[in-house]
Parts: sequence; structure tokens; C-alpha cells
Amino acid sequence: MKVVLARIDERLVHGQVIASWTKQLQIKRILIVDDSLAKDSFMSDVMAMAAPTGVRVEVLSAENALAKDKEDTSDENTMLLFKNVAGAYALINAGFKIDRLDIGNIGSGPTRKPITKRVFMSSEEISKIKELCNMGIYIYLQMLHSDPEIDVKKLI
Amino acid sequence: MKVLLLSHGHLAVEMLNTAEMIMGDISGVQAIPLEPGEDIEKYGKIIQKTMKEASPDNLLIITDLLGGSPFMISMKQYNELENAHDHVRIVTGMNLPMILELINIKDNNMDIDELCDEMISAGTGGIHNFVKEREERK
Repeated sequence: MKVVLARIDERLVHGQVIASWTKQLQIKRILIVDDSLAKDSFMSDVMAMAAPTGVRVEVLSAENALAKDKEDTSDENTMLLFKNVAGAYALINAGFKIDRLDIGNIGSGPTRKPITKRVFMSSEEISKIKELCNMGIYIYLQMLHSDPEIDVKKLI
Repeated sequence: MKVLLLSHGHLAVEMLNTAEMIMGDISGVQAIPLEPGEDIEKYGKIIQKTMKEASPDNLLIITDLLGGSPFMISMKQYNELENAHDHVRIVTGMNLPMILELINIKDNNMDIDELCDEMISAGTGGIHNFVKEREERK
């Protein structure tokens, strides 16, 4: 599987993803890895139908994403999307190899504190991110393709 | 029938203002912007409330972009509201010809899907590469 962007984005498929990122990186496939969405056939259908022309959207559980990665030898430009830190953390710890991870949008919540205007994380999420950094994964904040990458280590 | 225009930023609000500039005062149409960094939950609740309050009247939601947040949030609310199919429709790709047509026909007591078809035809029918088309006519 040729993952050209792995991204945490609370909104999953939305304007920035379909209009900016897929075009700039010539994405052919968006793989949403989310256990609860994978069980929601209505919203999975909506995501698939909302894909821009020439892009396929698939919603998979972490387990199925891992299985797919093992058998998938295509060189299609693929975007991996996670709803939250826990989703990315779980897939990587299950053995999915990525070397870069973009944090796009994570909204505020009762236990989350602001990292930037668009990214909020709880202390638990921050320690997961630190753990992933220690595994050698480069994690950065970049909302739009035209924004500069900011190394997450500078912010947490 | 009630109409709700939804967009990233103020496109929907200005679409309504622009339509009023052409058509005069318009009733039964509301426009809600999605501001950068806005709380998605709160935005969803407003849409949910509008869907509930419109019933038994039809509610037509028009969003700026297929796959964008206003659309995704509307679909989520549609899915969560029981019997939403009875009175709610969601159309994407808002443009001015579409809205002008809608204003002309929205109070005709038409079937909501027929109304959507007419409105969508007007929307796509208003898009032209005009210089090229004119040259080809010659």
C-alpha cells in the first residue's frame, strides 16, 4: 500500500480533505480507519458517495486495514484518515508501518487543552503522541497542504 | 416549504442576500454560516432543531460542497432523525441559478423531489464556457 499521507482529522472527509489534499497529493484512495464508523453503514455510504471524482473512499476497522495492507500491493496514492489519536495509535501498535503522521484537526473537549487554534489534545493523547514519536515516527501539524509543517515535539 | 442554506463561511448568507437583490424579499429561507474552528456538535444541533421544527412542512437543505462539513453534518443529522425521509432533502453544489429557480417554484406545492430536479436543472443549466459555445454556434 502506498500511503502518501496519514492524517488525524476529527472531521474525516470534509472540504479541506476533498478539495485541497486529494488534489495536491493526487490521492486515488482514501482509507478511513475507524472501528465505530466501519459499523455505521449509512455514514460509510455517505463518505463513499461524497468522494471527489477519481477518488475512492473505503471505511475499514483497524483489523481490516491491517489485513488489507498485508495483501495490497497496489501503487495507488492512498490517504489514511483517523478520527483521533487513539485510532492512529491503535493501528500503528497493531503493526501498521508509517513513518509520518499529520495532525490536521482535533476539536476541543472537556479533557483537552489547546495545542494550536485547531488542535486540542488531552494529556493521555499527548503521551500517546510522544510514544509514537519515540518509535521514530515523524509527527507534525499541518492543516492545509499550503501550510508549513510544524514538528509536534516543538508544541508538546 | 422551508429552506436552509449551509456553507463554509458566509457564502450561504451572501447567496441569500444576492438572491434578494435580484428577487426582492424572500421568506422561508434561512442561511447559516460554518465559521472556521466552529464547534461541530453545536452546528449539528442547530441543523437537527431546524429539521425537527420544519415537520410536517418539507425542509430543503442546500449545501455548498458535496463531502464538505455542512453536508456531512446534515447527513449525520438526517440519519439520526426518525422519519427524516418524509420531509427532508439535502442537495449539494449550491449556486445562484439554482437558488433563483428554487425561489420561483418553492411555494407551488410540488413534490419535493420534482422540485429538487427542476432546481438542479436550473443550477447545471446556468454553467457555460460561453465564449467557446458562442464560437461553436457560428
